[in-house]
Amino acid sequence: MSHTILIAEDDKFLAETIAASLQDHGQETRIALNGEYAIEAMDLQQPAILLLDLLMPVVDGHGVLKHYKEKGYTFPVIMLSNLSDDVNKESCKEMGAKDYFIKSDMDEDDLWPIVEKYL
Amino acid sequence: MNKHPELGSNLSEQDFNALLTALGSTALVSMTDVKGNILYINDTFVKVSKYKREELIGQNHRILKSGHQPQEIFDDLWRTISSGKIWRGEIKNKAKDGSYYWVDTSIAPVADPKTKKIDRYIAVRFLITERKEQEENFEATLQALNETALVSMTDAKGNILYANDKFVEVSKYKREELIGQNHRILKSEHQSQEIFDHLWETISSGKIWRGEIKNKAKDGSYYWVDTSIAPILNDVGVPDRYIAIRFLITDQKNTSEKLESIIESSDDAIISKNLRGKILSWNSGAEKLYGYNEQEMVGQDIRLIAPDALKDEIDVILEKLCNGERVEHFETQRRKKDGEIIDISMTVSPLIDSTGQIFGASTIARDITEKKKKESTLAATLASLNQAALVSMTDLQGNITYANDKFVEVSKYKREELIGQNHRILKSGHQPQEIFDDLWGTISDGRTWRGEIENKAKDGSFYWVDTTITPILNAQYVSTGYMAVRFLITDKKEAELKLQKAFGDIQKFMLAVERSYETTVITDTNGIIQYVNPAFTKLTGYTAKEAIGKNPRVLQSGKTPKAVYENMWSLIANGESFVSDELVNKRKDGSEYYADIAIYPVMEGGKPQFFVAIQRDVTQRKKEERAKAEFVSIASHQLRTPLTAIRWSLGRFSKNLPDNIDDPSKTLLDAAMNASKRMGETINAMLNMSRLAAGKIAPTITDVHFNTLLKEMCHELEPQYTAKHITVDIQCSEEWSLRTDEKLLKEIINNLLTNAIKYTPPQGKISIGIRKDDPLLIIDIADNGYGIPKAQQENIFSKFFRADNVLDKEPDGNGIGLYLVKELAKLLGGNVTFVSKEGTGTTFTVTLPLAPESL
Repeated sequence: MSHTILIAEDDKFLAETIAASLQDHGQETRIALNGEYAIEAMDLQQPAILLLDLLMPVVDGHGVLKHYKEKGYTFPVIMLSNLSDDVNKESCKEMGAKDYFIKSDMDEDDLWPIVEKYL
Repeated sequence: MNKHPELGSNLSEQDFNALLTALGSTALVSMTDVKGNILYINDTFVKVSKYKREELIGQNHRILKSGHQPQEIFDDLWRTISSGKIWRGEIKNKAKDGSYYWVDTSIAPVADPKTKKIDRYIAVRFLITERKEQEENFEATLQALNETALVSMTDAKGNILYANDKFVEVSKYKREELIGQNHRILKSEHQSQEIFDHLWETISSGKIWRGEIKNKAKDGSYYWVDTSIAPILNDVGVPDRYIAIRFLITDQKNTSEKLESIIESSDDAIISKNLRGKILSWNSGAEKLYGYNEQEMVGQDIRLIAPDALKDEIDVILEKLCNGERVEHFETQRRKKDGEIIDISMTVSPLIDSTGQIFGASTIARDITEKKKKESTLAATLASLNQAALVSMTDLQGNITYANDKFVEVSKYKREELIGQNHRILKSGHQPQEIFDDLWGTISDGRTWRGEIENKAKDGSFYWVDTTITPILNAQYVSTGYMAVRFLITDKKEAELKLQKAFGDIQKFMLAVERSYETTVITDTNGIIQYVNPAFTKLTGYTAKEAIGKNPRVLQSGKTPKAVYENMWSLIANGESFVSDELVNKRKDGSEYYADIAIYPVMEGGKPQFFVAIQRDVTQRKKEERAKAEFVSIASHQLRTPLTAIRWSLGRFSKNLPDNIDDPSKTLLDAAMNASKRMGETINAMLNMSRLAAGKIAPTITDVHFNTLLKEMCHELEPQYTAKHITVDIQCSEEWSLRTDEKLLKEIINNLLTNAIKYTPPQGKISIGIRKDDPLLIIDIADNGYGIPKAQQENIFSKFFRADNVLDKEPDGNGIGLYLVKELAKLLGGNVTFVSKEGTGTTFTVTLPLAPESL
């Protein structure tokens, strides 16, 4: 079964790698290169899952989560950040993120089991 | 031919000249005109009159008049010579210098041979000044004698033939009552007949008698006369008359009578004796002094009161007296009647009788035993001063004229090197010139100076002297030099200087603290502030006045964990110091700052006496550290993002390759993936290190089942050690659990296990032992690997350090792991140690509290 997964990631190359990886597992993907686009995209069509980066231009991950909470969305949000501070993990979880992963610690293979868990 | 007919003789020219020459050498010869104006004078005239010849020629002779002689003489003179006769007489003239001279003068008129008229006078004068003066003196003496003395003449029996006015006046008889009377009517009857017998015996034998006679006047009053009676001898040499000259000496006599009573009542011993030493008189003062009374002593020999050793001295004194000398303030000793020897000072004067003969001596003596005692005390004082003090004398320029033994000894110069030298050779050069200026100003002003001087001895050593310098004044109170008395005070000065230095050191310390930029607080053992320095006020806003007496907790912001203070108190109360840079303090104005604080207890007798706290505001440093940590955090993120892209791309590439891809390509791809993975690990390690340094890692304490955790970790590492055929043996008999931060503990164990695998060669063995040593859990991780070289063991926990012996075997290490292990263990309240031998293996031991008290 195909789902739409929204990828909010300002590194275009990485965003496309993630998208390609998920497409390998038969999923549909949308890419938002900053937080603002991500908000627009989710408001237009709620995704099955949001993979959210923290450090992004215009509106960062926290800003997106704020919007997510305000709108009362319920789709799972998985943080994919390279910020490894516990503070960020805590704050994101408080704002509704289901999980928090450090991208550079993951291999491409590690991604699908995480996403699959929340589908 | 007679050239000089006026002389009334027919002398030859030659004879005349000879006469003139002879006359000229002894007589004053002059010629005047008829008015008396001088025409000629000879050399003698010039010499006697003291005028120059040219001053006299043309002058009238009257300028030489003394004015002492009556005008009649000159009237007679002029009358005589103008009548053509020669005048002779005695004239007193006045020389130019005001002195007088007498001349026996003969003046002859000379007539012009042609006119026979007197036109000149020639005067020949012989000097008779000496004779005239004697005559004048004699007359004056006679006159004075007649005025002052009683002159009388008697016949051989003493009947008065003549009495002068003075005699009449003093005797109060009329002259007619006296003449014809025997002189004895004037006798006072107060004098012994012996005197008169002696008188008559003397004069009747033709000699002059002299003595003092007391006479009685007509009115019954008495008068003393110093009487000289001279016999006048007749043709056959027998005295037939006597002339008596008497001088009134009543006043004198009265005085000497008074003197006698003074002598008698004087406290001084007054003794008279004759030239042989026989005592003539002995007053009550003498009785008091010597203990003998007048009856005992008059007629005795004066030597009686001289101690045996000094008897010769009497002869010497008497001999001096015979020569008319006085002996003044002569200090000697005499023996009292009771035998006691006393010190006396005596003045001895010759006694002279009325004829001027020395017939004895009077001695005035005074007891000076007490004075002597004082003097000998003074002498003893001086002697001890001489031993104790450096005594010297200088002239007005400071050149040494005397130096005592002590001075020589202390200065280490020889005496001959000092004498004549200026005292300044002893100057140490350590004292300011003002001292010496003051010294010289004082003593040259005639005053005494006192002060402390540092001098330099010949050998270069220094000594301090308490110095008193006094000008030496002569009778006119003028300084002739200086005398200095110095006492050695080197010991005292050195002690003083030491004290000063110690005080100086304390002052330096005080200043160092006062001026320090580090805030310093001293509290008592209860924590009450005793002292704060200015830096404290600058940092906190509290003045010393506000802070002293308060507890430093006024600075607490409430943001420092209580546990920190508890830890601090337990440390300093036990004599240990406390250091922390994590305290958040509050200023007086409420603003906060990070304090880097060190508290040292100052111990004495094993107990803290007070505490010294030094703190520094490290807010800025903390801010910088945070900024740095943030930078590292963001920089890491920026590195991680492309790294993720590489990793994931490589992963996808590898997965999409056909299985039959040739081996070399597959190997290259694997290498790239491993490298990117290691890079990720390094970034993580550096990030951890930076977080640790920034204090950003806060442990989260939970219950941790250590056995389970260990098994999980070993399982995760299994692919790595099995690849090297290394066996891992866990020796664990019990289930261990502890309260700690699971993630950090995992990081510690993971690092140590990874290292053990990395640095153990294939076929090696790793053993993990767990035991409890309450309150600690002890974990040993032992390998039989390469080991750590001994020389490098102390650096093994340093950042970025890697041992030499593994650099070629495992080039991948980053040198951060063991540093993190150590720091994390400390963070968890534990520690990591190791034992290692190169080539044998290493055992790391982790100790962790089973339940940390405050984390």
